[in-house]
Amino acid sequence: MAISSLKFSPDGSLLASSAADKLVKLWDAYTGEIIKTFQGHSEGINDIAWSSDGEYLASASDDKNIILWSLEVNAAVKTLKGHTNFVFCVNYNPQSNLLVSGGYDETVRVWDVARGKSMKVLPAHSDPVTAVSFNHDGTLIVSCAMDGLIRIWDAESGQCLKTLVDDDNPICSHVKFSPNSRFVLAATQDSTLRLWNYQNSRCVKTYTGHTNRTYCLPACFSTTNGQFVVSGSEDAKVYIWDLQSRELLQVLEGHRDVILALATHPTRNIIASASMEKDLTIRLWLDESSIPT
Amino acid sequence: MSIRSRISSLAMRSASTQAGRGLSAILQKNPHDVVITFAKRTAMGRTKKGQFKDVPVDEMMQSLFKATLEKTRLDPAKIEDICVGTCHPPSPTYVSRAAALAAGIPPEVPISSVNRLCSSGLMAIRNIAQAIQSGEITLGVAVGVENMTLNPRPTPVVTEAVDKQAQAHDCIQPMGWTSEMVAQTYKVSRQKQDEYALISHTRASEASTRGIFAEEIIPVEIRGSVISVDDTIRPGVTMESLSSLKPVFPDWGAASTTAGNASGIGDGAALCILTTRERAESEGMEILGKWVGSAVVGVEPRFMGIGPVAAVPKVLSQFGLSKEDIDIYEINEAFASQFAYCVEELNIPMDKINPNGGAIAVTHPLGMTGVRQVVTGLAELRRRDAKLLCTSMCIGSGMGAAGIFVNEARPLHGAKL
Repeated sequence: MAISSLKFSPDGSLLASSAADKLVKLWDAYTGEIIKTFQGHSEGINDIAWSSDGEYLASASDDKNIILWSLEVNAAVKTLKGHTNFVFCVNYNPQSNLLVSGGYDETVRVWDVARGKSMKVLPAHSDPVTAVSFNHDGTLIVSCAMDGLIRIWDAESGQCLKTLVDDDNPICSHVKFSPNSRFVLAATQDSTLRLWNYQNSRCVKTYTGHTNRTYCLPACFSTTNGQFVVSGSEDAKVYIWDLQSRELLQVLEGHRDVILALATHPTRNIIASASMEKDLTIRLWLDESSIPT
Repeated sequence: MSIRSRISSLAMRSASTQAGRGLSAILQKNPHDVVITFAKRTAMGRTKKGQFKDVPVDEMMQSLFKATLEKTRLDPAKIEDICVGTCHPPSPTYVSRAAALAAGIPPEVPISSVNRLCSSGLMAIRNIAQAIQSGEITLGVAVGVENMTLNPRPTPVVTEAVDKQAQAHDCIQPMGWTSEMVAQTYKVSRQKQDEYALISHTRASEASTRGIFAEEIIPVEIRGSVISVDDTIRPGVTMESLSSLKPVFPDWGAASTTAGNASGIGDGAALCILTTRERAESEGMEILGKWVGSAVVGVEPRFMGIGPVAAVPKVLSQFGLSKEDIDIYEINEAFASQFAYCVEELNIPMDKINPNGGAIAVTHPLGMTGVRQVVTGLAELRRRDAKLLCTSMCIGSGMGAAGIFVNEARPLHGAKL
């Protein structure tokens, strides 16, 4: 059993979590109280994503489906079928009319949310796709996979614009655009995070010190109080680096197993992390000095 | 048309087909020039495991024709002839015609196929260009396509009476045998082959990383998937990984040809639209480049790989050009053995040859290559704002071919990324 994904709602009031127990749960982001549980998948869930208006959640499951949940009616409103194997990752575009997903069938799929239908299938990789997301204006998609490749796609035509790869091509476990969308942050299973300028195809920063050799650990940006890169680790700790200097600034200890899920709050200095098997907890880390009284 | 204007237009035409020797003449722009208004390729798929392993050539062509018509908004009724360069699919002309019809090209548009083995794509361009030069047509399409997964090279069979002649016997032997013959006769060491192979792999991988191929690939939709990225290029190739590979043809002497220093086997298609400069300008079609001409030669079958050594000087001298006049060469890398020999024998610097890698890295779908070289070469000339391209290849059974093209496209600004 493991908690696979954590995401704060766009307004920061809620925290959504997904787990191998086939459930999506909603929590109050400030008090930690459980608010709601969504049930419907027939297998464990790998990832969740919020729509930009905070009204919908999408969940990606080993049951090969993506389910869209409405917070207003408190129920599943659509099931997106098409992937032929576990769906591993999912994200909305900023306009939230499209979803992008990736999975063990090695494809990246773009979905029309309103019609609940697959619009594009990209045979994107030669191994399971571990992460997909849109950039800030929805024109580009980034994907990464266990084949070690990071690919950037034109969202409209589905054309691959470039392929970023480091010499040894270690398994790539996570990738996302930076908040200004000029860089992509990639986590690879050689215990390294790399910040790539994808326009000139150069790796501009690397962050090390944590352990990532086996699991798909997400990495996040934290921008509420400076510029930081945050990642989970297989030694049960959360690592925080200064984005520019690459200096390891802080290590958060408390979890007792691998940290598989991580989220940074959109407006406050809060980090949420979650773990697996030996420690099925979600922990919220606060910078108390910054909380308004 | 009055007698005077008819005579003068005929005079213009024969003048343009015979004129144009020397660099400045080649670079001139005349209304009867044959120009290329569209040049794109599909992504390539590795043999047996790649993205086209189940997609026969008719389906590849149908989707490429459709994507081309959508992108160019060309009214297909304006196409006056199509020529498809392809080697081994059964019934090539029938399936090409079916694919064209299925893509929405009207039955009034005729089609043919041409097979001069590895040069078939260049021959398709040559056939359409020469038909335009002769005045028979004014707008045509040249295609190069091959699916080596579904249509591998069949073993040619000849009768004993024919086989008795030594060169006839040699000319049907497998390509790998000719690679070993060139390597051993011209003493191209395994080390040298691997060095040239490494250049190809490295350049192609870097080009893929820089997103260069996105400018020349047209995404095609096949069975609900959008195919737009080569699955053939291998990142991270090193001298160590190349030198550890075992020779694949150990039966033929001191073998040195390996899977890493031979052209990859793959599937793909490419297409060019050709017309007259006059027609392109009057109909507002973007002019990417100009066809200058080609040359075909025969060489000793056993050493078929040396084809470019004969073809390149022939085409250059035909047009009064020196090898220094050429900005980029696309010389097919059938095998590093013959490629290394040709490059060194022709004495052309490697930084002008296959700047984004060649067949060793990207694969050599036989019929596609002749068109792919033009697509890739023109795209690179465009980026460099340079002028002349010379494409060349060796040809199975002992031949060579070469073509010359002028880039007329301005560098792209505001590319997607």
